[in-house]
Amino acid sequence: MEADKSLVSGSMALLVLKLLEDGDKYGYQMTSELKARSEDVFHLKAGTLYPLLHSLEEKGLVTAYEREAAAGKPRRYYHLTKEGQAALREKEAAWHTYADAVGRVLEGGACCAGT
Amino acid sequence: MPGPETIRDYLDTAAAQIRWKRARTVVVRELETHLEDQRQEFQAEGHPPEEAERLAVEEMGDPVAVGTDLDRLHRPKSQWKMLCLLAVALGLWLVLRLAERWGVSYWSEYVVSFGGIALLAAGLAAGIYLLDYTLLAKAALPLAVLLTAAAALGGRLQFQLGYTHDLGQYIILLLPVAMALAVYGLRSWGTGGLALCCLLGLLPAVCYLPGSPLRFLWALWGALPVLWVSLFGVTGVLVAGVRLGAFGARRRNWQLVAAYGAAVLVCLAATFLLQPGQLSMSREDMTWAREIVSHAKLAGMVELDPALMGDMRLELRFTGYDGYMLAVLANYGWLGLALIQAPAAAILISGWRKLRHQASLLGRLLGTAALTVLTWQAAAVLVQNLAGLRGLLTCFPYPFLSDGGTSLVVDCALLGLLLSIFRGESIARDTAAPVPQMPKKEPV
Repeated sequence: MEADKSLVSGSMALLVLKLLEDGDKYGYQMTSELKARSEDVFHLKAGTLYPLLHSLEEKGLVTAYEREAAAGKPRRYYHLTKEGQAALREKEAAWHTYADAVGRVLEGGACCAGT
Repeated sequence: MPGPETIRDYLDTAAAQIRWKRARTVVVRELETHLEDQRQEFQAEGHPPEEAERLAVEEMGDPVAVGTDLDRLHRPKSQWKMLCLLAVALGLWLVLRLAERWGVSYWSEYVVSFGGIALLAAGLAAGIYLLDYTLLAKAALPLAVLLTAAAALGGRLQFQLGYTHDLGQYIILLLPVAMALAVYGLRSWGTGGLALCCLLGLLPAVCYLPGSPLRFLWALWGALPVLWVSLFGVTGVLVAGVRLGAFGARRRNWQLVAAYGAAVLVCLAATFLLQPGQLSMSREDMTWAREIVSHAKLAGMVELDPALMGDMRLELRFTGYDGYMLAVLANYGWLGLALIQAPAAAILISGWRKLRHQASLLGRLLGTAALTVLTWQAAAVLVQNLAGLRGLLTCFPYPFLSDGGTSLVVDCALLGLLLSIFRGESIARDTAAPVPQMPKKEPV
């Protein structure tokens, strides 16, 4: 099942930064990995990914460099900078706060617990 | 309206939204590899080639939207602040040159000649600013060798020209640019690349030493300017390269490279300085400088024993750059000295601050080269003038300030290069480094 677009768009930067946490990756690798890790929920289109990656680069959260991949084609790899790591930690914390709050509301809320 | 069905159509539509040509090339290349990967995956899943291509294009989304978004992100960054500072510096340079010669009978000829030089320098800076500096990377190594050879031959060239013009010497100021290109071209060659860069960087300094087997490349002004440019500029760029991860070396090793470069060049300088008659420093110059520096006022003319110094305005030459800064200090005090340097200092400080945000290795290296040369020139002229060490540190004038048209043109070219790097910052990318071909070992 694909996710509701309006739910995904706000958290896309968080997901992209998270993908780069365990190593440098190129764009196509990121869309494939996101699809696999979300068990086919997130289909990130290139038209969304590249403007997002380039704007993260502009903000200094990622840097890009070209390197030849295994198949011999030169590809642009993205690397998470120190600022990017800090932003990722912040966004993760904000997301957990948000998700926990949504969860509590959906489950009835703290006020109703035990009544 | 139906969307594009082929990869070419998709790329053309996306590219058409991007106004900046340099950004267009980089963006299209990235989208193209993505589309090719996607197409290959669909083919591997069993789709026929045409169907795979159509599906790959469909997966990408709207090409107009992606092109428009990327166009907004990638615009040239105009360097108005730096260009205005340069205009102020060049205006000041022209006013000073004409003021120094005020009252001379053929003063109007100076207006034309100095005005022409200032315009040429401004035009060169603006022209290079608008050019794509990454084109240098296409022939990085040949250019590095060519510039180094030209610097080594500079003095000889001047000699052949019958001393009519000192153009040959000023190529020395481009040595750090040559080193930046060499580091970029050899960045994936490991320790061998680092060794080659060290060799190339030292070559001009060795050529200029008396007693060197390469002395036939003899230069008019002797070894010292080359040694100092090599020490600060060339070694500085090499160190910056290692710090930025070139040659696959550990970034921490920059200290080793700096120590090695400094040690070798100091040894060469000592060899040169220990030769009798190589230095023509006059004790009188040093005494004058010491007296003026110790008695200089905050503002206004220094007051010294008239019997010792005579009339300062007459004795200190404003029209030459040997002691130009000392003349300013003597006549206008420390405040005058600070004010006159303000535009050039603002250019340099602003340049170093902006360079830290450069993403590409080529930009960082070339920017370091340009700024190291300009900063070294300013610092060397200041120290040399205020200490009365005529000819010991530099033979070049203070950048964008003291007399010397050829140097002004070279300095403006270097500044133009720096501004071109800042302008293209948002799309600066290093292309994949070519890996040297190693002979494969035959299995035994």
